[in-house]
Amino acid sequence: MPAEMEFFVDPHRCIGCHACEHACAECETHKGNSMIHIEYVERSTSVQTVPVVCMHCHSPTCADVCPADAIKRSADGRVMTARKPRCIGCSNCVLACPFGVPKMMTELELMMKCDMCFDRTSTGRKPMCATVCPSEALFFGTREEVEQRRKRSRPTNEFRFGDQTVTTKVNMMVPRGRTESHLDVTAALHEKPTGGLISLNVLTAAPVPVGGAS
Amino acid sequence: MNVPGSEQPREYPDGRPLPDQPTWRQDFPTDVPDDNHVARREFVKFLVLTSGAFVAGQCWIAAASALREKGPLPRLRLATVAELETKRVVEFRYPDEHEPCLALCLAPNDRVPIIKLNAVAHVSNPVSDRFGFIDRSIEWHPERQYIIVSVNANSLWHGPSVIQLPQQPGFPTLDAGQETFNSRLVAPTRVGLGVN
Repeated sequence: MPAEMEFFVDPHRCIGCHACEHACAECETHKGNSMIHIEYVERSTSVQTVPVVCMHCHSPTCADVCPADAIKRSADGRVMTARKPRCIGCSNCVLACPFGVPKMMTELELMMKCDMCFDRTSTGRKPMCATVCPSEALFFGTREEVEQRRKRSRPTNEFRFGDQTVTTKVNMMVPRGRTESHLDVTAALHEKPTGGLISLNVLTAAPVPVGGAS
Repeated sequence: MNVPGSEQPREYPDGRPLPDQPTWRQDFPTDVPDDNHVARREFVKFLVLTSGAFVAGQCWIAAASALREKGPLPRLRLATVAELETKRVVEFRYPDEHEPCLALCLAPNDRVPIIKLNAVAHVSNPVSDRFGFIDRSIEWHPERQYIIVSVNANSLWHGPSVIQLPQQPGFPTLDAGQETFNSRLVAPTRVGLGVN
């Protein structure tokens, strides 16, 4: 039996080039809007960025909180964009998603989110973002490929938000040496980024005008 | 390579399977296959209920018709033939208030045809107009035993005959056949002799 293709997100490899956003926006199925965005971890002190893409939870909170029953999950586990005839634009899903993925498109009165390029992946092609990502921070392939290419990291799909454990279809790459089975997102919120720090000069006095004006 | 299309079971926050979940989760499932199942179930419910309602309505109509046919039709005296002059009209309702009819005598000593006005109810037309167009445009074909009521160009109705007879003994039967009539006959709003 051929291996199944999976989606892997490796934030450590993200260089913040925004190519994924532009590639996603090229797709006409969501009217030129990007369904992926780049998050800056601690912009004042770090250049680290994280691509935020729908994780396609096995128990999607966005669908559970939808009062209009508009968010559906396909048989293969993809959580789809809200159904236009049903979505009432209440933004419950936007507020409830633990990963901060859904976008409320006010001009369309519709919640839109990543569906892992259903039109492409259903025919055996890679998602647009994974196709253009130059550093393979977004990778779409088999688990064997990831094991072979990422010797120092391993995929996990279990996330902890306080007392809530969320398992997802999309995998997140974590250091291979760590023994925890899950990624504690809530605890990570309070961690300061390490490595890749930059120092910013903070002005303590008013700058001198250029040109020597009095 | 295999596309990610394999079945992935839904997980719930409490870890229990779908049959053990609250009713609202079973009625509003988030998985597309389960949602399709519910949609099909609801559609079948709709079909069964609406079909049942139609069947019940048909039975009710049949029963009401059967009961109504049991009783004899009422007898109603309108006028004698002598009382009806040429192109005079008797407007009446038979067998009840909802069935407006006209009795016309188009020629002396002729038999009296009955026009049953049951096709178009356009109450905005004045009664005088109604009688007026009858006077102007009615055609009487005694040899064919029917009349044609044709009116001006802006007719509101076009279709099979509007001329029907109440099944009352003593009145001649009009056979309109498959003739097509242009008519804007209106339901009379008063009962009595309509003489114009």
